[in-house]
Amino acid sequence: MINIQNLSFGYNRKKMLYENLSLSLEAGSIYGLLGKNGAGKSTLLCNMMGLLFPNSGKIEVVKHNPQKRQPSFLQNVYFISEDVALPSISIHTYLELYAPFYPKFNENQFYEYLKEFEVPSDQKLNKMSFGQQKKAVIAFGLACNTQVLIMDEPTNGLDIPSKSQFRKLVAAALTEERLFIISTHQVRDLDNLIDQIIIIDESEVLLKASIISINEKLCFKTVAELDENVLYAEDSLKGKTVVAANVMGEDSKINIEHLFNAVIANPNRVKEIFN
Amino acid sequence: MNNTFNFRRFGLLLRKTIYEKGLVLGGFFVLSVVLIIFSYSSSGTLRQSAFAQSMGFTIGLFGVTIFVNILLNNFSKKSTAASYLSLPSSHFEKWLVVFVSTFLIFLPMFLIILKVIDTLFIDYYRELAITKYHYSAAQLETSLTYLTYAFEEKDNLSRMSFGSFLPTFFGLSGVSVVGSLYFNQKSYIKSALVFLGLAVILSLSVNMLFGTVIGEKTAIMNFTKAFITTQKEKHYTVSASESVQSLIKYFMMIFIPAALWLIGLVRLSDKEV
Repeated sequence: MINIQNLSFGYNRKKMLYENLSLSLEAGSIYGLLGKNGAGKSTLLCNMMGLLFPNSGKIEVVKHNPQKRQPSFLQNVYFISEDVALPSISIHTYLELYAPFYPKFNENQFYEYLKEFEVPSDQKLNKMSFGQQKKAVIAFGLACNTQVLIMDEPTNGLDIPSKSQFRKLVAAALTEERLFIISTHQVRDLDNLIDQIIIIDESEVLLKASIISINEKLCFKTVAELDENVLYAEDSLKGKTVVAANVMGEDSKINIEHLFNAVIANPNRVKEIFN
Repeated sequence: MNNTFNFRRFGLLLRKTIYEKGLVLGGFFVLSVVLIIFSYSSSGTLRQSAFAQSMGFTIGLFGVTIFVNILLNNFSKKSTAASYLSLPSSHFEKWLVVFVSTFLIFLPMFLIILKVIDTLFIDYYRELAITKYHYSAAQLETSLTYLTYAFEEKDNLSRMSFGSFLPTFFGLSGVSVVGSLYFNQKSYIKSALVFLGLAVILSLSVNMLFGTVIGEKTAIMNFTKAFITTQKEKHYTVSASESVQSLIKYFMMIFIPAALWLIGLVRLSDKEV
């Protein structure tokens, strides 16, 4: 559904953010795009949306070149940016003005999502708190039923109950025909939500793997002593919490934060394990 | 699906723009009307009405640059830029909304209001004794004559004002379109500075070039006439031939404004957040 081939992009020609980046994303999955601050997550998402243009390389999203920003492409993708700036109109008016642009928009779903998020539907959008605004936009984005939904730091500004509601709604909205990409640096917010993880750093993709594959190849456990299979270790009350190569075929629960740290600390070893 | 123009999409976009920006644009329009009324009411006598009319046109010219800037003021924040650019409508439709709002909404409304204020002002001072019916007919006839001669540069301040108003309106709105799309922050101020800077540089360089070639003190008017003052303080006027004059006139009045609007369309398709 999304194909990126040899993408090179830089805000400055002398310092490229991405060089020859290739990535392929399939429908029916929720991808978590993880990276440090400034790693270029938002830039990559903007390239996918046609809001930034690559210096070279090819991007194809739902069989369109995003750069052309054709209506037939834009009505099949929805982008939730990190900051929201909404007009001074009510939610009902917003719906009347924006929903007709999206042919698969479902009004009942939208109000259902608002109810789940506890967003009052009779208030003016710009009078709401940032978190409420963000939830209104997420509800709208989900109700658009576009093939691709791209969310840049969607959980920023959301309180703890809302984060859990967010995970619930996003998981429920996924179908075999849809693809969601969620970029965040708050990796814990994606626990039990994503089924594919992409970690980027230093202009390259360090890891792109499914949760199943990560479970097969790595194990997350607490040990008393470190051995050569350990990729990352962190002191804890019970000993050392580690991410290690899963040589024994152990079953464990993925800790995304530890996985992220392990990949950033040992990119080459992680690549060896997954290739 | 037609990815260039769809009447429904265009209608939706126009409606969205009017809803979202209507309050700001309406407020700005009311301010313009207040300024026009102020310029008329401060003119005092009928003799000064032509000056007040010129002031009215000038307010309209400033007004359209601000109007266009408000319409395209979506790029100061990344989130608003992303929302605007990712809205499912074509570049042409987005551009056409600005064009239609400027020429089919702002311009007629402005001219009608100016005409009403002007008529009321003249009515008040002339204290016409004829009946309302005859008065309206007379006004209509005058207006038609006024429009017929609009582009002819007669020796009449109000006619000259209106005659040059439309091309200047076309040109300045084009400058505002390009400026709003090239500058993300403080686009109005930056566009005005660049426009004034370019105008000054162009004027100075043409005068200097001409002065160097002629070897005398010169002043170029409208790129069609040169006023030459010799070292013996004799004054001459050199005019381009009529065909060259009309070529320059159409270049300045039609080609450049049209080019600016088209640059706006191209820039919109190349615009990034």
